[in-house]
Amino acid sequence: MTQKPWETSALPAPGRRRPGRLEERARCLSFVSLLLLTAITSVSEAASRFRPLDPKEPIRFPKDHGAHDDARIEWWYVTGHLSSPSGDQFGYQLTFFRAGLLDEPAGSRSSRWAARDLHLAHFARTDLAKKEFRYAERSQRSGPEAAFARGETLDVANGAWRLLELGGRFVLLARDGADELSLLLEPEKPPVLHGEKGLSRKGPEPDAVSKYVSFTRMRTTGWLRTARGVFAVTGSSWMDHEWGSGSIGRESAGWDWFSIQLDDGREVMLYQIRGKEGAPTRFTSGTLVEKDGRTQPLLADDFTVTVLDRWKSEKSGAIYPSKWRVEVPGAGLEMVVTPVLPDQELITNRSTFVTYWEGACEVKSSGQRAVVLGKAYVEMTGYAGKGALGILSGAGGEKK
Amino acid sequence: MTLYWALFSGLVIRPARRDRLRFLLTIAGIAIGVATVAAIRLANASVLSSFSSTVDLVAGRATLTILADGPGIPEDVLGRIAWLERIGAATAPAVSEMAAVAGPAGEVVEVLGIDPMSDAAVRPYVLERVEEGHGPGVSGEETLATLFSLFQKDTLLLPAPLSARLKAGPGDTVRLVAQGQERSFRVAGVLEPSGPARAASGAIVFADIATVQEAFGKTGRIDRIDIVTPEGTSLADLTRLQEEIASSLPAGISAGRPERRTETVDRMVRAFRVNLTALGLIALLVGVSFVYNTLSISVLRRRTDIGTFRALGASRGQVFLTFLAEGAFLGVTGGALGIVLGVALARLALAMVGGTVTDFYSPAARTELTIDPSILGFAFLTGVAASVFSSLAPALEAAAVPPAAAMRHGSVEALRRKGTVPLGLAGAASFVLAFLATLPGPVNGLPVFGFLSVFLSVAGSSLLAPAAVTTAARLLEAVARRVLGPVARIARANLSGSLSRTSVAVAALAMGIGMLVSVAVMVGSFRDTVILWIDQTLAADLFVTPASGRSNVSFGKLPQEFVDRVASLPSVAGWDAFLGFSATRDGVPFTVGSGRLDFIASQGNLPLVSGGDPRTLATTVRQKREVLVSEPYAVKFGVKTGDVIAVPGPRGDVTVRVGGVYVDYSNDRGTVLFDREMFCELFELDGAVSVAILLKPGLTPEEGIRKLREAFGEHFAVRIRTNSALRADALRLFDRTFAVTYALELVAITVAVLGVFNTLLALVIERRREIALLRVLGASERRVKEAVVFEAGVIGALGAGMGAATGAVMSFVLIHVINKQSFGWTIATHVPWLFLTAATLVVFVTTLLASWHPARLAAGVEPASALREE
Repeated sequence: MTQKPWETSALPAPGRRRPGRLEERARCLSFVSLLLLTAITSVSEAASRFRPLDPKEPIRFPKDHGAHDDARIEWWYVTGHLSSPSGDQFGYQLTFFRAGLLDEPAGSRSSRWAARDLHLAHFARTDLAKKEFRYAERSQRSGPEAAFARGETLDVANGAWRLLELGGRFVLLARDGADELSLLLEPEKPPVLHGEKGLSRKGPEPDAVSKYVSFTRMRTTGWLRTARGVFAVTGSSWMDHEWGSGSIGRESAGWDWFSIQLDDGREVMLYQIRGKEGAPTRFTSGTLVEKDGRTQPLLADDFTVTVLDRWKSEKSGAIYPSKWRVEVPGAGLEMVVTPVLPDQELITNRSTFVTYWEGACEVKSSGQRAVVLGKAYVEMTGYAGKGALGILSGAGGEKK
Repeated sequence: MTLYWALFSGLVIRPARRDRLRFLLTIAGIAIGVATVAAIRLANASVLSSFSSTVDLVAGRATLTILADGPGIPEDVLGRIAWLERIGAATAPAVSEMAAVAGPAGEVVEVLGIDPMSDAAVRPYVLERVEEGHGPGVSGEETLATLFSLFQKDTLLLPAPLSARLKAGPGDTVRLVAQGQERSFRVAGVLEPSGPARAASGAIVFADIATVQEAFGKTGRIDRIDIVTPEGTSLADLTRLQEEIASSLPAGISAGRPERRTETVDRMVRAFRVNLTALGLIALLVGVSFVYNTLSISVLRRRTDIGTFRALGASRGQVFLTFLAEGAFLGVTGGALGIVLGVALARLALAMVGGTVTDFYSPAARTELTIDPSILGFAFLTGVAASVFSSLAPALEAAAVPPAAAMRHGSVEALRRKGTVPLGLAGAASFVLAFLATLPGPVNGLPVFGFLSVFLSVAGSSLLAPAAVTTAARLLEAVARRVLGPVARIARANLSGSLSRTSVAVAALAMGIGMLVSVAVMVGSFRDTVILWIDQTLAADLFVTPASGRSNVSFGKLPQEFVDRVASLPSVAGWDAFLGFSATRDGVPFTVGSGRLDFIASQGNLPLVSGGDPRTLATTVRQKREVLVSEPYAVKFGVKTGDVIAVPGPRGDVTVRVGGVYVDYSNDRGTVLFDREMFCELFELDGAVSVAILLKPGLTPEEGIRKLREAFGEHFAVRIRTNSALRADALRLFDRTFAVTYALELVAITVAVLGVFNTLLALVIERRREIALLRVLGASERRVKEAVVFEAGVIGALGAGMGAATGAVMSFVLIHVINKQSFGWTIATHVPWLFLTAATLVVFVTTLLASWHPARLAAGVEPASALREE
């Protein structure tokens, strides 16, 4: 067996790129937002590729798992909790963003390089035993073998990172330096349509809506490689898919989002859109998923989230909530959500320009003798002074 | 030291002052030779260095570049090298094209299609500073923002000088001809002329890959992938990486050092360069024969002085060194003058060589003369070394002069005459060797033995010169004396009495005429062959190519839509479309082309090397899905009918059987010719680089052009040429290519005629006493004059005769060995008798005219004072 060039000692270790190039990349991308604005505002309304969401249009699967070319922004968000037979526990997050760049109708360009979209992606994993959190990001223009998001069925890629559907099951691949993830996800429940038949309102503006669907519980098997070895893992994942063309979150300071998988077979999704003053607005809602898959929308009055602790990031200076009491009285739930590791912050200056916190959490009952109720992933944006959605909000907001 | 100076000033400087003209002529002879060699090499090096700097500038920081042997790289192979990211390597794909700025005088620019997101890591772009800007320069951020604005369809960046020439700044529109159509591009920004913006001498524009792919009909293909490996990657790692990449890619697509493209072009122009340099060296050879001549005369004339110096204590070695120093002095002076002249000449040569090279290989390159000191040094040293070498024999002779002995020089000549027979034998042997040298094949694609054969012929003829002069003198003795009387006697005495000088003059003249004859026969034969071939090949009435601005050579292609529309026009009776691409096999470039074999089957316009009927062959080749190869291809790759060859395709090699070999003088790289249908299918290409149209009977070409223009309107920017115009263009291109050789011939002849003048002058000066004696004995001024002119006539006739003979031999070698081995063409020998007779006559008459001044000088010898001199 010949030695692979990347295994030679003379080459810098993976991930240890030349100084300078990284900065170069970073600089590169600080213009993505600028570019998005110029690109979008310069094209006439008449032949616009992007359409506002049609609330009446029903969501159909598997087609709607795939990309929506007429939506300005779209993302697929997968988070999960994994454990190996040896008892190691991990959390992971893999996110694919697609931001429409050129306002050209599909099929108007013959070259596959036509930069219709920007593709950004984040990959993070948390090693509970080592108390280690690592993340990576990627950004590319659409191009052959570079990055794409197909319609019809779910198949998104950004370099070697990929998420695709194969006959009702989903394959997830990601790799960065020593970290590599290869998972098979099998939905245990049908897809959940949040809001009104999938239409989720995010702000007071008429177009501040998105279509939002989730697989809230997916049986997960596969393997995970970290610097300390390869682990055969099993666990449970959660996949969100959201798309829209409107100004999502323009009036808000950020949001807090919870995906809770309870050991009793139920799941809870909650989000709070925070106003400029920091207090949750009325566009705060959620979904309760019963064991049998039936769903029940949760309105702002149906639940409360109380911050119990805070954590200050040394890197960004942002102060994040770090422990919550979550109560859903209607479901008989009173939970304390605690991060497995305080620092699960992503500073994404090479892709989306959002500094946010997204991390694995454990869910216990409140009180002296806390009982483990389940696991959760929590996302918090807008605590580091930047926009809640970074360049994505720019893309959505600057409509003519 | 003082003794050396006394020797040098007494034996070299003083005589040089006295015979200023002769010395100057000698120096001029060397200077012309050195200048020729320097000019040819400078011009070639400039063309190559401008190409290689373009290659380097485009490669930027890349340490490896992936290129295809065949028609581009299918873009989906990018996925197969995605692993490069894991070792920290940055990759940047690019598409490169050529386009003319719209309009009849539009300049030709390279168009580089890049991915702005990945390209900045490979190629350093610097945005032009805006005058009223506050900062010291443009920030990298602004540059990147501008780069990213290339994502918009049909936008481009251009270098500042080009922007000024085109009067197009940011926001303005530039119109380029792409696929035979004018297309507007918006200027997104202007770049400082640095880094990639300096490539192709600044005649380059940058656009997004998508824009270039769509505008130039190259969807799905890229031309190169540049790779920047992490800093500190060792050469061994690069080699390993190269292999690893090759194993990830289809056959025929490989990674290599970016410079290798220069190597390919170097290979393309190498035959051209080597041939020209060889001709230049012959000019130098003629020049240094002067040195020998001049020094021999010096030694003979100064025997008395040498004897005196020896008596005064100068050693043999000192005398030897003095004359060697004279040779060196002539070499250094002539060489210095030569390199100055060479630089001037190089500008001229660049126009010709550069024109030829760029016509064939890269119409966008605008070459500027780069003065490479090492080339000048080489030419200079060659001149000095040759001069010193040719002064060895005279210097040895000088060293042999005994102290104070004033031996008559006739006795030396007697010694020389004894050497005539061995020299003659050596000459004959040289010709035999010259013949033997025609037998081996090329070495590394170069006709090394062919050139050896030419030099052996030249040497043989030079070695035979003394024998020829002696024989001529003897013939004169026997026959001419009775007819011409004393004139012939004086001339005979001079000729054989000064054998060493006259034979050198004869040899030089023979060399010059030999070159004239051989090159004229070669070029004349070639031209006739090409004309015949054009007659057989150009069957159509009209030829359409994409508009190419100010360039004579067409490039780019016409879209399939154009071909389809031509085929459906009512005025068109038949059509053919040529489409092809440049390929390489193990770094050796060749062309893969296609035409409609059914058109050839109906027109028979593809002469075969075997002489068979192209109609039937075209039909069977088409049915059996075989290919035809051009003669240069067959010769270069050693392929014959029935062989199976591999051609690099987009997905690995395509193997096909060779159905026949056809005659083709349009390129020396060699062509594999497919039927159009099969070609388009195998290589996934469409469109055409040129379309040939046969008009319905009764339509004149002009009417045909009008109908085409009407049919296409302003939509297509194409050049339409009639059969006769294309024929004229082809011959013009041919003549331009060979203009350099004509210029060299002229140089050689001039040098040779100068040689005759020089020799005669020397003879007259040296024989002042004898002439005075003749005058005293009763010879009239006129007699003396006639004798000198007669002598010139004999030298001229001998030179012409020997030159013609040598030229015949050399032309055989040029046509059948050198041409065949370097280009692979079969040329039917055709002797341009009229031109040769006229040229020889002109040389002969010029020789006679050259004797005018020496003759006058001889006639002007005053018997009394001349005799008193001794």
